[in-house]
Amino acid sequence: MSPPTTPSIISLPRFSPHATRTNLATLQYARSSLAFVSGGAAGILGLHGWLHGFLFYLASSLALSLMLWAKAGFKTTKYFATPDVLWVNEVAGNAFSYLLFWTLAYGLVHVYD
Amino acid sequence: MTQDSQQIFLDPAIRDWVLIPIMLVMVLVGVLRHYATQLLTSVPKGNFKGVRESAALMRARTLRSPAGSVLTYEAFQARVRYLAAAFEKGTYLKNPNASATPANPMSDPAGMEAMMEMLKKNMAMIVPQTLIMSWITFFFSGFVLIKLPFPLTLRFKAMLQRGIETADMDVTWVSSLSWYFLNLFGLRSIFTLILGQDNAAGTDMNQMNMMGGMMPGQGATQPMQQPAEVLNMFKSEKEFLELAQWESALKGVEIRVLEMYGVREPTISLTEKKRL
Repeated sequence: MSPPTTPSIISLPRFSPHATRTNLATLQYARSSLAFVSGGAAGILGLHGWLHGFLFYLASSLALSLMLWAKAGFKTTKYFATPDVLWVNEVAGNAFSYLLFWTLAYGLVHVYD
Repeated sequence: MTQDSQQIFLDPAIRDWVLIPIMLVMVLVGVLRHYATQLLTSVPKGNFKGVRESAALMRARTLRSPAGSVLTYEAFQARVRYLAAAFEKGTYLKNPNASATPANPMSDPAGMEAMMEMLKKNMAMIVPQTLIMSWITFFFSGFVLIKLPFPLTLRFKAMLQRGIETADMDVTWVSSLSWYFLNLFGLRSIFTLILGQDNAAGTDMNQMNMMGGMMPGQGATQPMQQPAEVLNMFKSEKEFLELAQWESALKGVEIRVLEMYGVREPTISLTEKKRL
């Protein structure tokens, strides 16, 4: 747990498990909403093809991450145990939801006139 | 395979009576399953010794975490010695006389209960999905339902255009069964939005991981644990405790206080950089 090379134990960040889980739940909620909204937007815009669709999803995920990063005062490790959580967590998990709403909006707007 | 290579006009009635109902039914079934699972899941029976066993592990983890530095050195050492001795002797074991050989889970009532829980969850998962799938294949097969906005290879044609025997149609035109599958995997975020994080509605691949990594100390919620496993956990925890380092929380406190109130320029140390 604590290797002898650690410079100082007391300056290591300490996390409350409950707060960490709340943060992760908030992130998940934001990502779910993003999959819903960006899927709908992609469908209404009429994007088609893997390339366009996924570039749009990645770009919107990145935009959300940047906003959350600014919200966290550019200090991710204050809220999450590792800095990558804010950027990659649940992006792949919500890709199916994105596909679903992309298909739905595309179908409603561009297929059924 | 451009967008306008094929233009098919679909009857709006298909949208109103197939596309939207399938989605609605799947959302509602998910919500129903969430609440049914809550009803079926019985509260795990509190067991004093089981709780004590997991609480001892949690206490040892807290002690060797950075939080242990608030204690004085003597207090820290005393706790380490006490807990290490207790782990060595197995004082806190739920069942100190358990044999090392894993008992048959069928004969153990706690294991039986856990297996019933798993069975109930699986049944709540499989039964509605089978019903919906047969409902869809029975009523809504044989016509094109929607166009996917992304191209797929011809390999998927047999699967996605089940019941439509048209050799030349683009693979992106799919039947209702593929809409079902898209819903099955894609509705997870909707369930998160309407039911909250820990819902039991959809096919949660994440939930499994979360359960495993949530709180290692919550041994009381894992009735499937074998006594030998707990013994090993105690042994390794004892070793961790003996290696645990201690440093006073008061070390360098005057510098940190001065930095906190802006009297002193903050020194960006190595650990500070890591934190940023």
